[in-house]
Amino acid sequence: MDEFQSGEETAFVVDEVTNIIKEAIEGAIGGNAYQHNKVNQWTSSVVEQCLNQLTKLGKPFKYIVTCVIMQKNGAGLHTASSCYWDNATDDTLDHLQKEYQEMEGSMSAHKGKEENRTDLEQSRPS
Amino acid sequence: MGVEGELHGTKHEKEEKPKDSVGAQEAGKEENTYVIRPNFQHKFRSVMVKEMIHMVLTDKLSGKVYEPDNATEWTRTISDTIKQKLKDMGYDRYKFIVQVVIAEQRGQGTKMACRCFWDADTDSYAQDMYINDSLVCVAAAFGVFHY
Repeated sequence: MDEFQSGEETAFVVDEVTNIIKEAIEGAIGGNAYQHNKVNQWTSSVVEQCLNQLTKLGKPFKYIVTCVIMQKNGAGLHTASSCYWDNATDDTLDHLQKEYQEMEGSMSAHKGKEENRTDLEQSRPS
Repeated sequence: MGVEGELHGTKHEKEEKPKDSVGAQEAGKEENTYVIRPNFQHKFRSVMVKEMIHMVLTDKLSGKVYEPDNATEWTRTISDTIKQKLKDMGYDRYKFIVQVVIAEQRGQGTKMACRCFWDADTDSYAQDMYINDSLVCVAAAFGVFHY
């Protein structure tokens, strides 16, 4: 029975992963306003940090982490995803964070708009 | 004794019989019959997928002007179309994840990044972009091999 994973070990715990994503975003961007020359670094460190923490969970999954950072100026942003996989073992989680400081001269309550998406895939051999 | 002899006989017969196909059998043994890697022709190839994504994006978005009410629907139909086309491309035992982002063009900065933890030998991704005066669309398709 050792080789079989219990349901809990292989499950995608939403709270756990949401926390990982939140921490990664806060750690990378914190309270900063949008800075063009920093965005590269921010996106990389957000996905890097997410992936680091996800792999540390030690679960038999493959992970795909996508992060979009958009400067907040009233422009719309839409995302969608389609997946073809095994619903029993694979899962996805979206996290939208838009709690950044006000922009100068703007009434908008949030400055950075950030979307972070984690798709995970089970890679256990059948 | 009689039984032993008979057993021997049968054993011998069994050993003798497949002698002609021993080569094939051994090859079959060495070359595991379980498919744990995709065949080359079934590998997820970024170039072809990118071309397909490009066609879908131009088809769905050329001449379109950003409309907040419809953009959500567009992302959905685009991702579904790409997924469907991937399924039709005959990538056996691949799982697909298609991510589509449409952003309005207002001169704002946008940055999209992706990082994957997977088997680089079997798994791959393709990405393409469509830009016009009022919108930017990025579509990324990931193919993950199911062992």
